[in-house]
Amino acid sequence: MPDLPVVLLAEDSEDDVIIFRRTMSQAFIDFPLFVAKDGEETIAYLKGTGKFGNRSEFPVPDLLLLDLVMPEINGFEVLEWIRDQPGLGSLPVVVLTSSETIHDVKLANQLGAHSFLVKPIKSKDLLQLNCVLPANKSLKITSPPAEDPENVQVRTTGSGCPI
Amino acid sequence: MPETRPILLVEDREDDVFLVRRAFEKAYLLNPLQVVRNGEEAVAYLKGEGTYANRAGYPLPSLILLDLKLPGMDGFDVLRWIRQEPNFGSLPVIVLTSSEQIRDVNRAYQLGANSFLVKPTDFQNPLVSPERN
Repeated sequence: MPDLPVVLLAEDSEDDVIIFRRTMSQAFIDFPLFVAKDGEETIAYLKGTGKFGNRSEFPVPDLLLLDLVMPEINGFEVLEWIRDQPGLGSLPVVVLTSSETIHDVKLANQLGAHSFLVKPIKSKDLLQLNCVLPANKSLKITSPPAEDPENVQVRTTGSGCPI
Repeated sequence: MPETRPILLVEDREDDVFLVRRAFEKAYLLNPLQVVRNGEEAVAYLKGEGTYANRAGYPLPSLILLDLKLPGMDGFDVLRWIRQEPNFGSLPVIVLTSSEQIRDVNRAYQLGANSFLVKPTDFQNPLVSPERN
């Protein structure tokens, strides 16, 4: 029985964080979600420095959702930093972009991002995150909605995985 | 010496073929543009089968522009085929998508695409060059 993944969301916009949480609850998807508000905090979380050293309070993430546009240290720099960490080779990073800045994805891909999502993130985007998680982790639908066939999706593997 | 190997455009929609041709002209790209209309023809071209056996007339491309939405064998299938061929493993492939289908790019990257262009907007900017992409 897979465990719920720990997800770190690196997002500077508080509004976008609220929207993300709302999308989770609308999709009846729940998982431990931690938020870093900029690049520096993201790196500190991953390094486990400062307060993030307390891993029972701030567990190591199984997935990083990384906004590319952040002040000071941005998403690209975080990707470059991650690439240089031998211990983070298996951390899947899904970058978040907007349709206006879609071409950012090319550089993100070159810097090691696994895939991307276009904001605002929809429920089915969340379900597809299962594709980037290892086999022992899975997002679960906590209570299937009555009449939304789009949300009742089985995890797909292999070439059926869109992201 | 300008690159003279062609760019292979795999695109079924006439409007989009026109868009690409015009963008090439505006960007002063000298590479000849070879166009095939579907996935099967793209594979035949690369394999040098049938008409395409004449390599003088149909040289191997230096780059492929590959529409993801094709009739029959779709862009993903073509990409998968290209990447499992020993001769074409490192042939640059730029996939073409629309803004509505932008998420397809994720899968294209998983299958080995090098980059992407968004129709029609990326072709309306005369400075966009697939070679520099």
